[in-house]
Formats: sequence, C-alpha cells, structure tokens
Amino acid sequence: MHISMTELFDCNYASLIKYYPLFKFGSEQSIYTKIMKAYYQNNTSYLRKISASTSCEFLTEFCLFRLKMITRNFSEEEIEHSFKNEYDGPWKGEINFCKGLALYRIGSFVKAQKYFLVAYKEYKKYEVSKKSLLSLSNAITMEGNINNKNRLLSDYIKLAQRSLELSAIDTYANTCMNIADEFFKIGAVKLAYDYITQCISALQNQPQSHQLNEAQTMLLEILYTLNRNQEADRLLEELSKVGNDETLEALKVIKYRHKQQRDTLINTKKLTPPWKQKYYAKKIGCLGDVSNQLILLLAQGPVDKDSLCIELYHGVDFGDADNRLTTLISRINRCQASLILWDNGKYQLSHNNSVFGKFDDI
Amino acid sequence: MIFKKIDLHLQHFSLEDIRAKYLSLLSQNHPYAIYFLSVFYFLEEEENLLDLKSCYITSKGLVDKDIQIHILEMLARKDKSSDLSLFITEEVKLFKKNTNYDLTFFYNQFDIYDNEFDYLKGKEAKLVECLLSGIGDKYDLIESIYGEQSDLLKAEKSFKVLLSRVRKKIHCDLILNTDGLYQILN
Repeated sequence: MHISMTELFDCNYASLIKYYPLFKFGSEQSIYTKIMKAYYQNNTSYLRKISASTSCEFLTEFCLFRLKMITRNFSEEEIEHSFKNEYDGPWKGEINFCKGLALYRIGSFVKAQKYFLVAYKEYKKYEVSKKSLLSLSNAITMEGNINNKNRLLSDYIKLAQRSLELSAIDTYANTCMNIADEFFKIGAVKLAYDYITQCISALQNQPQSHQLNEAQTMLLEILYTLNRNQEADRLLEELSKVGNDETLEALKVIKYRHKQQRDTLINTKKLTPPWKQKYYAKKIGCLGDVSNQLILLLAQGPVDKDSLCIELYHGVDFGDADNRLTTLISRINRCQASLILWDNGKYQLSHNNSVFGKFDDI
Repeated sequence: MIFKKIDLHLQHFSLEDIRAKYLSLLSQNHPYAIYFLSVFYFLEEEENLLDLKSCYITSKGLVDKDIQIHILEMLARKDKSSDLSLFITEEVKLFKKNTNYDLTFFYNQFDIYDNEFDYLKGKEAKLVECLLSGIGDKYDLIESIYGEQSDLLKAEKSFKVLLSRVRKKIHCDLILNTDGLYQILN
C-alpha cells in the first residue's frame, strides 16, 4: 500500500491516524502526518518538539507555521513573507491554504480569500480533490466575512451536496457549521440545531479535534438559545476541560450571553471571527416551526408563492394558504427586518447572493 | 483468521512486527486492523494518546466488546498523567452496564463510582428512572412502567407493592409524595 504526498494532503484527521504507520520513520510523509495530527489536536508542545527534531528546513518551517496558526502569534506581513522559497507541485496548494487559514484567523479576510483561491486552483491541478473543495469552501466563507450581510446560504447548501458526493467529510462538516451559523443569525435556531448536529456526527471519528470543539461550542450556544439548559450545562462542563484557547474564550462569550457571568476578561484577540460577532451581537429570538420550514425552502434560492403554499400548507384551501403565508412572512420580517423579499414574482431571502459559480470557474 | 489478543505485559513483540501485521490487515480491509493500529500507537514512544483514543472510538463499530475493552486498557496504561481518566471511567461504566466482562484492571486503577441506584433491576430501576426524569404523577408513572394497555386497577396495586419494595431497598425517605406528586431526592 502506497500513499503519495498528494493523497496525504487530501487526508482528514482520521485518515492521517490510519495511514501514519505506513510511512518510513523520518520520511517526508511521516513528518508531515505527525505535524498534522498534532495540529488537529491543538498540541502545541508536541509541535515544538517535532520542529526541534526535524532536520528538513522546509518541514521545520511548516511545523512552526502550523504552531503559530494555533497560537495566532504572527502578523499579516509575517504570514505573507513566510515560505520565501518557491515550492512547486502540490505543496504550493498546501502552503497557500495554510497562509489563507492563518490570515483568516487574524481577521484579514480579503487576503485570506486570495490565498484560498490560489490553493483551490493548485490542489485542483494535482487532483487533491477534497482539499481543493475545502479551499473553495473557505474562499466562499471569506466572502461572508468580507461582507457580513451576505448569507451565502444557497452556496453553502450546494457545497454541502458536493462534499457529500466526494465524501469530503471535513468540508461537509465545515459547510454544515457555516449553514448552522447563518440560520442561527436569522433566528432559525431549530434549523441551526439540525445542521450543527449533522456537523458533529460527521466529525465523530475525530475526537478532540479543533473542528469538533468548534462545532460543539456552536451547539452549546444553540442549546442555551433553545432553553435546553440541562443539556447545555452538561456540555459546558465537558467543553471547559478542553485546553484550547479559542474554545475557552468562546465559552466565556456564551457564559456572558446566557448566564450573565463575566468571570474573567474576554480576550477578543483569541476569539474566532464568528464568536467575535456573537460577542457584540444581541441575543436572538427563535422563530417557530413553520418559519423554519419556510426559511429552509428559501435558503436554496428564490421560490414562487404557489410552491411555498403547497409545501407549507399542504391540503389547505389555496386562498387560506395564501393568507397564512402572507401573514407568516410579515411576521418574520417584523422579527428580522426585511429578511424575506418579493422580487420577480418569487420570494427570496435578502443578501443570499451566490459567488459559487464565479469562484468555481477559476 | 485466528485472533489472539496481545498480552500487554509481555514484551516479546516489536513495533515492526505489529506494523507489518497492521499493514497486512489494512490491505485486506479487515476490521481487526484497528486493533493492531491501537497496539502500534500503544507501543510507539511518541505523544499519541489522542491517536489511541481515536482508535478506541473507531473500534466501537468494528470489533467485539472484549477487543474494545483491551484497547481501552491500552489507553489507560498509556495515559500516565491521567488526562483521559474521566473519559475512561465513563466508558468503563457503560461496559459494566451492558456486559459481564472482566473490568478488574480499571477498578484497581481508577475511582469508579457506580450510579447510586445501579443495583436496582427491571421495574424497580424503571420506577427510579421515571422519578429521576421528573415524572411525578401516579398515573403517569403507572403508564410508563406497566404500559398504556395495562389493567389500571391491577397496575395500581402492583405499583403500590413496587413502590414499597423500592423504598425499602433504597431508603424510605428518598421517595417523597408531596401534594399528590412523587419525587425522588437524588
């Protein structure tokens, strides 16, 4: 059984664990796998150890870069000027992907998007299909960060479908998390719950990974918002044992929002962009079941009135269904200002533009 | 394949042997590959506790319970600084509930406190479970324990007997009846 570097770039955490014994001790594949496993586990001390014991200059730099991605201990310039030597082949995709992720973590979204798009192109060239889809997904997420109002729900739903086709679990989980976050912001909390649980079950083979911690933190916020306090308290206790700074800071935000606890100062520098937004945002009210259903239908794109009436009020007299739909939409728009728009004979969610096609054609 | 668990006390096998065995099973897509992968991470002298934990979780859907327990034992032995002791004790409790496997190693190694009412079985356990979940009304309790179709008069009599039996077994003051609603002090 042989796993090439290109195939290795496409591996998620669970596959890295599975393939690690295949590689010769000290080989490029072996060191890369060790670095990535430690990175996914947020194990900074082990990353330091690996960097000190690696003789290959490039892998040492890569290891230290991954370490700094966790500690966020670098500036925009430093990130951009890293890896001065040109590295050809699939490594070009990997380096650009890392730079994109690092820039995202320090809030430099426009530059991060540029790097993710280069990574997408490079990975695609070498058929690193899952990672190329993840890069595309991240580039789309950056669009939402550049313009906070842009929900991009139809793009995320398309991405989720494509990642399932490719069995790209990480991208699927990421996309579900983005969908959950967007639904949460507009008060469709039950939909947010459905998507975050899909995300968590996709990540069940990646215990204590960074991505799973992020998803569980989001679930915690959703549970408190749904007043499922007992479950939430249990999860809070479990997550408090996680030694990762980002998660611990996010937990402080949750305690502040839902328990009015402000034990220690919240270090906003350590908060990820979605948690920074939540820290400054008001608590939201939850929309009802039919509203959630309507939002799910509109999330995929514009829908005409008749189709909505049939989907939502199946078996109800059409005139009555029409009235109910109008009342429902005006009620939602009162809670979430101008969330649902009427345009060209169809209803649609506001700010739900698509960039998928534009990026995909690169 | 004749499967033989590896004696963790004997050091007559090398990391290289285990690696070779793992690769052979992996190439056949054999479910027991996960066991040898776990042994590999157990023997490897690296910081790989979470890799081993991941193997244990993956093993749950693939191999028999006694193999899972063996992997959990490796995890416990490798966890020198007790970072995963909470996780391990919770898993041991689950095994205790569902199986009759020998868990002596874990009981010697960890402080495993059983559920206070673990010794109750059948309808007695069901009554306590219902009370703990907050059901307090007598008829709701009867319905949950004896089912919707049961003869109410008969079930009511059985419920009284059951209640007094449980009160004797746990502690008579633990199940209260206040304003017509039952509750348990836990």
